[in-house]
Amino acid sequence: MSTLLLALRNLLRNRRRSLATLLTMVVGLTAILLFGGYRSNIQYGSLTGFVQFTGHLQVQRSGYFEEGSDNPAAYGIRDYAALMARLRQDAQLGPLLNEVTPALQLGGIAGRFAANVSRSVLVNGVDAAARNRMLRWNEYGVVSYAQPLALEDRTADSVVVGQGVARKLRLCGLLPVGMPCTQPAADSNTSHGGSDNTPAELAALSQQEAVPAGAGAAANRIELLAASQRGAPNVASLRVVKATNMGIKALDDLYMAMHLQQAQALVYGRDTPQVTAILLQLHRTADIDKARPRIRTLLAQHGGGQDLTVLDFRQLNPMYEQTSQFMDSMFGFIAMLIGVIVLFTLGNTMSSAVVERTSEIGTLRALGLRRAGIRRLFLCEALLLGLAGVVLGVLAALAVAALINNSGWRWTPPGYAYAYLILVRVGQDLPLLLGSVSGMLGVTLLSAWWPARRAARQQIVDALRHS
Amino acid sequence: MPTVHLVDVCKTYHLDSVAVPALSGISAAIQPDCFTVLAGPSGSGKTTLLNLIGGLDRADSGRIEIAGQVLDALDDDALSDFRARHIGFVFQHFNLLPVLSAYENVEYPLILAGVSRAARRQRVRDMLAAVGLAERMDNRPGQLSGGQRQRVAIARALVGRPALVLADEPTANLDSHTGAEIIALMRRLQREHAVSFVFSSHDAQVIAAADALLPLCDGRLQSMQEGAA
Ligand SMILES: Nc1ncnc2c1ncn2[C@@H]1O[C@H](COP(=O)(O)OP(=O)(O)O)[C@@H](O)[C@H]1O
Ligand SMILES: [Mg+2]
Repeated sequence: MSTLLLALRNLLRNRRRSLATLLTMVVGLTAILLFGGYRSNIQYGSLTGFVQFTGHLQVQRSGYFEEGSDNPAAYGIRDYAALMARLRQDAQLGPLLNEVTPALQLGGIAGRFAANVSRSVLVNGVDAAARNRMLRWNEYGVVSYAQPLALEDRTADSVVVGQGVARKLRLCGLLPVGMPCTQPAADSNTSHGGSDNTPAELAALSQQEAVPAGAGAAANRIELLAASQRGAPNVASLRVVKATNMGIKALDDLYMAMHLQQAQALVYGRDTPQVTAILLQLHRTADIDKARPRIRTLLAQHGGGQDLTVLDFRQLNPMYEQTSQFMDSMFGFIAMLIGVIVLFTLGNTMSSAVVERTSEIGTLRALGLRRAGIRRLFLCEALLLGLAGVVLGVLAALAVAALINNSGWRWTPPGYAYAYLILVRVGQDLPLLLGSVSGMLGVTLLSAWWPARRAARQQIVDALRHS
Repeated sequence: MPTVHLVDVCKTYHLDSVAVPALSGISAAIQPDCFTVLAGPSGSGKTTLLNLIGGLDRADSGRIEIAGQVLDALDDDALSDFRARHIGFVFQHFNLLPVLSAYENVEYPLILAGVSRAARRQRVRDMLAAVGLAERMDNRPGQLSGGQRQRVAIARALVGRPALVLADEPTANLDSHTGAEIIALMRRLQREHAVSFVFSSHDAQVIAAADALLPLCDGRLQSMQEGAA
């Protein structure tokens, strides 16, 4: 206790220097925490987005992900419904699962003869109700940008497309007001489908999202050309009910969702329908490592000899790992830089303190304080500064984070088609808080180590002569 | 048994390859309950000898025994503990800790010695009263005069009830009137506490007050003389 008191009094003795050092630590820690919170928000945000969309784990035929994304015929999973039931009902796996749902992905060409335009698309045949439940998953409580899939309770021929697809197909009425879109050139000249393309009707379409097939619906009809299982071309007449912003531009320009049965009819016709993936969404991301081996076991037992594999969301979305690693390395770099600055600032403060107090060190030693006591005194001094810096730094970071989070600032990350809110997750990110705080205290002790050691090692008589 | 027993103690300093002999062949015994003065001109080796006796520095050769303990046998930690328990120091520059009050400065050796808080309180108050500073115990050294600081230092040296108090020219930084008061105070406390005091000085006032005199010149002891008691 006397060490603590001495350390505290000595810190107060040179207030200006102590304050300057403290400020360095507070600013440094605030910067680390804010950037860390920003990184954390991006990582949890993108994780949530990917998991909402693709699930935590997917069962696919081996090789499908690398080779066959547009060739469902070659990579279909047979008897998928029975397999899904096995997964759901498993005593170990079942409780971990939030949702299990099938998907059929295929490539096709969407065309709109009314506008003389066509566009290749990636079609997702989905169970809309299950997908909408998946979109509500939000383990980390992030701001979720997912909009419900507008297919639920819609007619069998309904489809939803990315806004990029809608623009390419000149479905201008489905796009938000103000988004650039070339009106179909064909409209004024050649009239294919009678009088269904008048500008007035197009304008009305922008509000027609919830309107079922009605007056202007014909304007949103498209044809989809896809290859059937047997290689023959197959055409479906579909109705675009909504153009949705998919976030990532590359996806936005390709995306089309339809009811699973519709997609299966396109590919398998009257044959037994299959799917290309079974999506599994867990309640908790941390359960992936528990769930995966169990799924493998179940697939081996009940997969009917099909060569099935399990992929997690990281494998399914390489962009997640890339973004994550980029943010991690940025964070590491910034943290290291600040760590070095604090190390030298505090090291310098402690070295000056040791030099200034040389004769006091001699006095304390003469009175019978051991070398370790001197070392403890200076380490204690640094640690007190460090603790004050950590407490103030965390408070400052929380305050600035609250300011930023309430500012409503937005930005569009490279490659994205959506402006995201700039948010920092400091308070909710315990590993970040604990890591930064203990890192800062570690740096504090490290920087005081050498000065403290030098103080303790001085010869008493030399130190006393300093008076 | 003498409080301090020196046998053939030598100490040489080395300044860049030049050897400066500070003490050669010092043998002496300092009796308990005695006011002993180490007299000699500047540079004669008084500080060096006091540092060796106080266990602040090590001799090159010879044997130093304090209160029955051979100092050379102790490692650094044990020597620190030994100082805390058996030796009090009074310095020329007072050497109080500036961030502690008079009370806390006097209390500090007792904390090192592991004395309980309640016992410390009584002893510190008594000691400060004995040096006439009961009213100033909350003052920091910066708020005290030189004479008052040295009184605090004397209280600090005595509060742990050491066998031996070492004072290296304790009046050198005081005016002669204050110096005389300090000497009188030390003399009185030395009797009251029945402790051995060893002093260095070239001040006739101090030498006159001594029980025993150790005259030092060029690092050698001249001869043992009994002073006027
Ligand atoms: N640290 C040191 N390094 C070199 N020489 C020293 C050192 N300390 C003292 N000396 C020398 O040793 C001799 C004795 O010094 P000291 O013990 O300080 O004498 P006094 O206290 O009687 O003035 C002097 O010649 C002094 O110059
Ligand atoms: Mg001297």
